Amino acid sequence: MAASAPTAGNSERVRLLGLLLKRRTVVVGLVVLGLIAALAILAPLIAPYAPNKLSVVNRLKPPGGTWLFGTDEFGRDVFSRTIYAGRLSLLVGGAVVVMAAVLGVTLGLCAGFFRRLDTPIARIIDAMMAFPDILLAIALVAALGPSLVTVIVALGIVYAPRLARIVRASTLVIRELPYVEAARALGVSTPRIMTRHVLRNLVSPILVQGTFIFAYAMLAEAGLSFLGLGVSPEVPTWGTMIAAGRQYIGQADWMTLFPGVAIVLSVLSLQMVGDGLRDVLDPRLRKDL
Amino acid sequence: MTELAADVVLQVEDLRTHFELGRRVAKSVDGVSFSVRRGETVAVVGESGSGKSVTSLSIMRLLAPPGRIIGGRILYRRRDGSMVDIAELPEKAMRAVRGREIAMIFQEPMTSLNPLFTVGDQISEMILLHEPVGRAAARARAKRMLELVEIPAAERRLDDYPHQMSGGMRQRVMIALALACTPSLLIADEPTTALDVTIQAQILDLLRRLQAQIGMSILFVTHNLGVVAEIAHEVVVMYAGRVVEQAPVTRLFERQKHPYTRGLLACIPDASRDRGAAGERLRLNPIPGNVPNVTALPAGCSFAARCPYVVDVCTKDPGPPLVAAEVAHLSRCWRHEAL
Repeated sequence: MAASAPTAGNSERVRLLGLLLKRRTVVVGLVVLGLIAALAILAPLIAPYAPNKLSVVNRLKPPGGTWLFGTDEFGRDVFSRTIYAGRLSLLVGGAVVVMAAVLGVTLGLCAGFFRRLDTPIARIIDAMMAFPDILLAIALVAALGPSLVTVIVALGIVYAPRLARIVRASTLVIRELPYVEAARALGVSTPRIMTRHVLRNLVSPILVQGTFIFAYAMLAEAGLSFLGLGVSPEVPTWGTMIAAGRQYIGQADWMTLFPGVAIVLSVLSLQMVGDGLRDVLDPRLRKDL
Repeated sequence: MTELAADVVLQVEDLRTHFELGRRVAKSVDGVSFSVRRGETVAVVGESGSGKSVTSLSIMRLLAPPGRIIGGRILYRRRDGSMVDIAELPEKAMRAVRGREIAMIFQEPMTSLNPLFTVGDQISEMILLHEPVGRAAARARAKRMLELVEIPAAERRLDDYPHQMSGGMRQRVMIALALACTPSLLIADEPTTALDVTIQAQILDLLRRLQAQIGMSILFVTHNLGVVAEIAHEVVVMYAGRVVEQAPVTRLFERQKHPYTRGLLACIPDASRDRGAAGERLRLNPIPGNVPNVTALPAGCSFAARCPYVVDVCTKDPGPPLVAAEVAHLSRCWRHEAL
């Protein structure tokens, strides 16, 4: 009997995965996301040109023929740059989401759960949200010194209050629900109530907000890079490509179009997966039961 | 702490639970005493605001601030025979008592279960929390618990989510959850109020049978005297944070020694009694007025303002003491002899 214990948890996970993959939107989202990630990871093998190879003769060539996505103002291949840029953009987006989630969820849960911590945490959150995002990020990067890690940390801190606020508000509601009191009456400890009974019920707002933060982070990174506070300029990201292409949008819209499409596709596919994940984790939304 | 009679599981002595709201103090429970013997059902009866729920939350130590036990003792006999004062127990020790020794079920079966987990998971969680058993053993026990509360097809129902069950079924699951670790005392806070009448009767019946089977005591909190007649052995009537009358159930229904209890009984519509001589419908008999605000109790007897038997002495301080009007029948009324 005891030997079958671990499989009980595994089979539950397998069952959830099965339910997840039954949804067409989730499958499409996963395929698109997987494709973008594969292109980014395998960029050195796929890219027809080096991302920084200049070719002044071939400046601002339209898409088609030799240059799948056209070339930019220095004659660099936009396709090669787009897939190379995916590596850093996805990394920044993902890492910022994780960072913001860890910070924001912890702060929000504590503020919502412990009355004593509520006022100080809520005031700090308000104060941080009073700053314009990019200004706060600039200040943080300036203080910590520009590098990839600093950008991630700074943006994580900037976006954490958004999550913290949502988590706090929902925690305040869920904390008062009868099943939380019932759990307490049956001897469940506070940390366990926080994770199992409260946090699990917050998955959907966290996922939704997380996908937004993923997109914001990629764009904010571009802003920081544009100001010279991000990663070094010779490494392309989707954000820096868009920022650079803006000047030529009249003559060479492909310079902004393709990295823009890359951002849209990755955010969209992530949202599709997130939606499916939320439905599967909330048994009331599972239509196939 | 050795003065508990051998068969007493819980003895509440002069319990005072107050809520400090700025300068005002709500004396929600003010000097309540009663005891629960092994295998016995004690019903705590009262209107909204009488302090009956605060009493049960005090025993579970689940009061939300600013609520605080400021006086009295809650003596409880643990399973190993040792005596503890719950009012003084550290939170960590209290957590081991909750669920394992004293369990509680609530009024809202629709929302008392976490919607995200199957009922089997929730019962297993409870067992795993309190006992050193494996996952599979906990699940097997959860299935037995569902069978015990007479849920058909228990094996299949283990994997159901709460929203797939009716209110009555969910209350059965709550009972299974509460009894999973065979507690010595079950506190039931209006467990049948949200259910319709036929289901109410089923749940009461189930509780009675389980009590006989497991030998637990029940502290039953309700405002419904019909339910009290069904299930209780001993009745404690509360009013404005105090016990106003206490007696064994048959005696209380025969003869009330406090005007409040009498009023409560008169409130129950009775088809045979409520017809006049010509068969015309008579009016219901509510008790006029409301429970006084526990932050500003009047001088003297707190029921005086609503009492049909009121005399001068009733409004003078101090109010009436709780005295034995008859053998094993307590009343807090100056005029209990006249009643």
